[in-house]
Parts: sequence; C-alpha cells; structure tokens
Amino acid sequence: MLKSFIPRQSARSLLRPLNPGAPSAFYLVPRRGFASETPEHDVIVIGGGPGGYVAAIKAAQAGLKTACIEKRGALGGTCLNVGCIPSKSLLNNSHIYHQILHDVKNRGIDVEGVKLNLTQMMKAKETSVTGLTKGIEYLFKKNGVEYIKGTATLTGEHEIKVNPLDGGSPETYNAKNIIIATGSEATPFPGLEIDEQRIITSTGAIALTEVPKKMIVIGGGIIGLEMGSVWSRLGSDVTVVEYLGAIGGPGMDADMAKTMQKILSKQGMKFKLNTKVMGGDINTDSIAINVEAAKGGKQETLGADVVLVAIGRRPYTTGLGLENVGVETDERGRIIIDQEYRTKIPHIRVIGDVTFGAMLAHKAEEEGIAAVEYISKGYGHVNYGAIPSVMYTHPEAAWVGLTEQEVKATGKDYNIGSFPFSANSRAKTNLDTEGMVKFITDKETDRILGIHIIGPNAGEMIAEGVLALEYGASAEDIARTSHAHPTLSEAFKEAAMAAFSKPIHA
Amino acid sequence: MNATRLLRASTVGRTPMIQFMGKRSIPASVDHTPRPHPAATTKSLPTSFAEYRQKAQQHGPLAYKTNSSSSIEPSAGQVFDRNDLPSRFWRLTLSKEEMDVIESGGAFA
Repeated sequence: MLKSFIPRQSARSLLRPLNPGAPSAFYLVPRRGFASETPEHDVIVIGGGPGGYVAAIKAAQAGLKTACIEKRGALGGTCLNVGCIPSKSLLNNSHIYHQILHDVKNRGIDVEGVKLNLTQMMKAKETSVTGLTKGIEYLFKKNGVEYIKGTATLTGEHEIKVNPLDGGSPETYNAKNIIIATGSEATPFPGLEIDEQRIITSTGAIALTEVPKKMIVIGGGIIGLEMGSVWSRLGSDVTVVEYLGAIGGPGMDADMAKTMQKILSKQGMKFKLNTKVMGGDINTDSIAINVEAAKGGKQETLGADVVLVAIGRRPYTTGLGLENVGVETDERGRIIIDQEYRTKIPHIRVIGDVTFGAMLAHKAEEEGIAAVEYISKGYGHVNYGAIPSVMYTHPEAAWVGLTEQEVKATGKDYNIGSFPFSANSRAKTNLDTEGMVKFITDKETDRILGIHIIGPNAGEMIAEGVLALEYGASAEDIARTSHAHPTLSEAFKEAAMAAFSKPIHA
Repeated sequence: MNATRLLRASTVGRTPMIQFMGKRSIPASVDHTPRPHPAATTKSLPTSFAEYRQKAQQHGPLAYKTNSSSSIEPSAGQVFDRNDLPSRFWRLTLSKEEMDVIESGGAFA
C-alpha cells in the first residue's frame, strides 16, 4: 500500500522546456506524481497512418516523449493496409499478367498456358503489406515511439481515454501536445449499402476472391480508374460511370484527362461521362444500376456482378470525442485548423485527410513533419502548390502545380510545351510509347506553373517537376540541365525545351 | 520582361532561376497569430479561435503576444494567480490517505 503513495519524481519531460518559442508548448511546474498515474507525454499522435506515424517518428527524433495510438491493429493506416500499397501490388501484378497475355508475343516471347492464380496474387499483396506495416513497428521501436493499440477518445484538452484492442480496461493518457491524424473513409453512395462483397469500396476492391464478369465503377477519379484497371486487366468487363464530363477528378488537366480516357478505352474500359447514378436493385444473381444523363433525360439500366463505389472519401472522426473538447469541423466534416495545424485549442493539431487539402498520403507526411516542427522549433513548412498527384494506371498519369484551365482562369499569359513519348528513344525501345509531357509556363518570366505527364513511370518522373516548382525554376533551367540518354526523362527535358523554345526531337 | 531570354542575351551569360539558397534556417521572427490554413476553403477562422485564446492560460494568458525568442517569464509587474490557471496547475491537495502515510512516517504496510 505504501508504495502507491510514495511521491515519485516528476518525469524528465515534464520539466524540460520543449521550445521557448513554440506558443502551444506547455511549460509545467514540477508537480507531485504517483505511481498509479500515467506519465504525461510531450506528444500523443492519434492515428498511425502515413501522417500519424511520420509525425510520431519525427517527434521522437526531436527528443519528445511520444506515443502513437492506432485502433486498426496494424500501423500504416488506409494507405498501407487497404489503399495505396495493396492497390499498387495488384496494379503491378495485373499489368504483368495483362502484358503476358497481350503484349509479350510482339516482343518475341511465346508463352503458353498462362493462367491467373488470384489467390496467389492476393497473397503477394498481403506479403507486401505485412512487411511494410511490421517495418513501421520496427521504426517505432528504433526511435522510441510508444505504440498504443486501441481506440482513442478525447476526454479533456490534454487527456485521451484509450480502449485497448485486447479488451482490457480503458486507460487514460495525458499529453502536452496532441496530433490528430485519423484519416478518412470511403464516402458511401446513398441507397447502395456497402457489403464489401458485391457493393464494394476500394477496401473490397483489393480483396475480391474471384474476377467479376461485369463491374460498374461509380466515380471516374483516381481510385475508380486504378481499381477499374486492375479488374479490367484480369478479365472483367468494366464500365466507369462519372457524373462530370471528364475522368481523373478535378485536379487533372483537361487535355490529359481526354488522352487518358482514350488510352484506357483502348485497353477495354468503358466510360459513361455526364451520367448520374439514380440507384440500384440488388438481386441474388446480379445488380442493376439505374443511370441517367447528368442534366436529365435519357435513362438506362446497367447490369453488374460487382459495383465499386469510388465517389470520394470523407474525414474520419467517429468516436474521437471532438465534441468533448469543443474542436470544430466544417460542413464537410473536416477539422478546422489554422496555418500551424492548430485547432482552436492550440496544443491540439490536425494533419492529413481529416482536415483541409488533398487526401494524399505524401501530403499527410509533409504535414506530420511540419506539425512536429511547429511544436519543437516553432516553425514548419509545406508548399501546397507543389504537392504531386499520381494515378498508377498504365501508362501512369502524374501532375503538379496548376492545370491549363486554372492558369487560363487567372488571366495570365502562358506558354505550353509538350513532347510525346512516341518521339522518345527509350519509350520506343520499350515499346511503350503512349502519353506525353506537358509544361505550362509563365509567358513573361518562363517560370514553370504546372507540369502534367501521362506515360510510363510518370509517377517517378514528376519528382523532377516537383523540385523544379519548389525552387521556382524556369522551363529553360530544366531544358539546360543534362538528362541521360537514352531515358524517358529526355521527354521531360524536351517538353521544357518546347515551352521556352523548340524541342529537338519533335 | 522575359527573364530567361534577357539573361540569355546578356554578355554575362545565363543565370538560372534556380539559386542555391544556402543552409536553411528558422526565420528570426515568426508570426504565430492564427490565420486560415492555406488549403482551407474559407478565408477566415471561426471566432472561437480568438475567443479561446482570450480566456486560455498557458504559462500566463495565451492572448498575450509572444514571439519565438520571447521569455516565458511574465514581464515586470505582471502577475497572475496560480488559481487562474487550469486546475491541473493548481497545488494538489493532500488526501486523507496521503496524510496518514506522511504522519505514520511510512510505518504501516
């Protein structure tokens, strides 16, 4: 009994100044502590996705006593467990399968008896996912991040109640700083109940046990096109229904969206643009989806075995207890923050999908680092004008900066420089020549305003464009930079040449 | 003005727009006053942000302006009562059990 009452020396972190300049860091006076009390953390991160786990590691590296609470039972969030990573595994392997069936013969490789082993393909995906999630656990250990498996609820401005996943009794944790990184969830379609078997979201689309004969994808954004590509390559008859007049979502340049639609149509995907889904009838054997022209008029019924709902994602705050501390959300459920990721309660910060900006893993990572730097140094940096987007179809589409339509809307004079991969030597040797690189530059200063790529490895190539935008480079800067021959990146250089002068090879 | 074309035409040769910016450092002065997030769709913050800061206490009233190099010590003549701070900063009261432990000198198990 005595032991539990003996005052314990305050934890080191309670007395240590975090950063004299950071406005939200609390400088606590020494106080009596008891063995029964959970020691206060400098930072607790709620959510172990790409934003949360990066923030936690960064905070621990900054010398802060850090914990990360995750309810999934595995780190990595949607991205690693049911999003970017498993979908990339399926995209890559389905592309190989499709290539073997339809392409390698032209390359002088005769293959017979090619069969799809979907179970093995899914196992390969799971191996990648498990390896990566375990990798984050290792990084937590290496950097000294405490990993708490459970569901977190804010019960006070500095207090979090955690219901452990193992069913134990709830525990209360205290933190000087709290970072919310709870991510997002798929937006449901009214009238179509998600069962992840026949009416699926991206989560179900990476776990189907057989190839559906017919698949309808509601929503022609990045997720819909990527998952539609996977099942189309594996043999499904895929129809994409999109309310807007173009695929790719609002961030994709109109030229690129049209080009991409042509390429994907050639691969066998069907598109119904300017089309509204009115509802669906789910029968034992099939699903009937009723659609009509977005502006009203022509109605049609489409049949499918599986319907993928990919109309977007919404912030995930269920059970977080925001109401307990009065943290506000906007009309779309995003937590309202200021320029330093602070809610109205300055020591509660928010990053990633659950707040403003594009719902992208790499954007969340940048914010995680910046939020921790604001805590530890009083200064952080994310350039929202230089966040790349990538669609991992084949060919890939990638872009950064402004679209031509956005530049036009500003009234600024601009130049366009483009270069097709059909004129690129490496693409020709690879027999993979679809797509192009497009530069948009300021006519007066030659400064790059936007870069849009469709082509093999566009997702890797865009990194050069992001760096150029970050540094405020001109097209001539890129054009005068030597690019190795023969590489796909020469197309990037040639497009830059086309923007400020003329390309050599086109 | 077309910067790159002018530079190309000049006798000193072309100077790229990309410049080595030197080792990065934290700006000497950072304005921490809450402003809308750059990716926010509205151009103003809810009034609750300012209201919270008016009444919040963090090593003194949060509403006081500080900058990155300011001391956390209150300025001369500025005082505040410990009881004005949130309850977690108050002096802890001793419970009956704690008093018993202290008075017994730890002589009971």
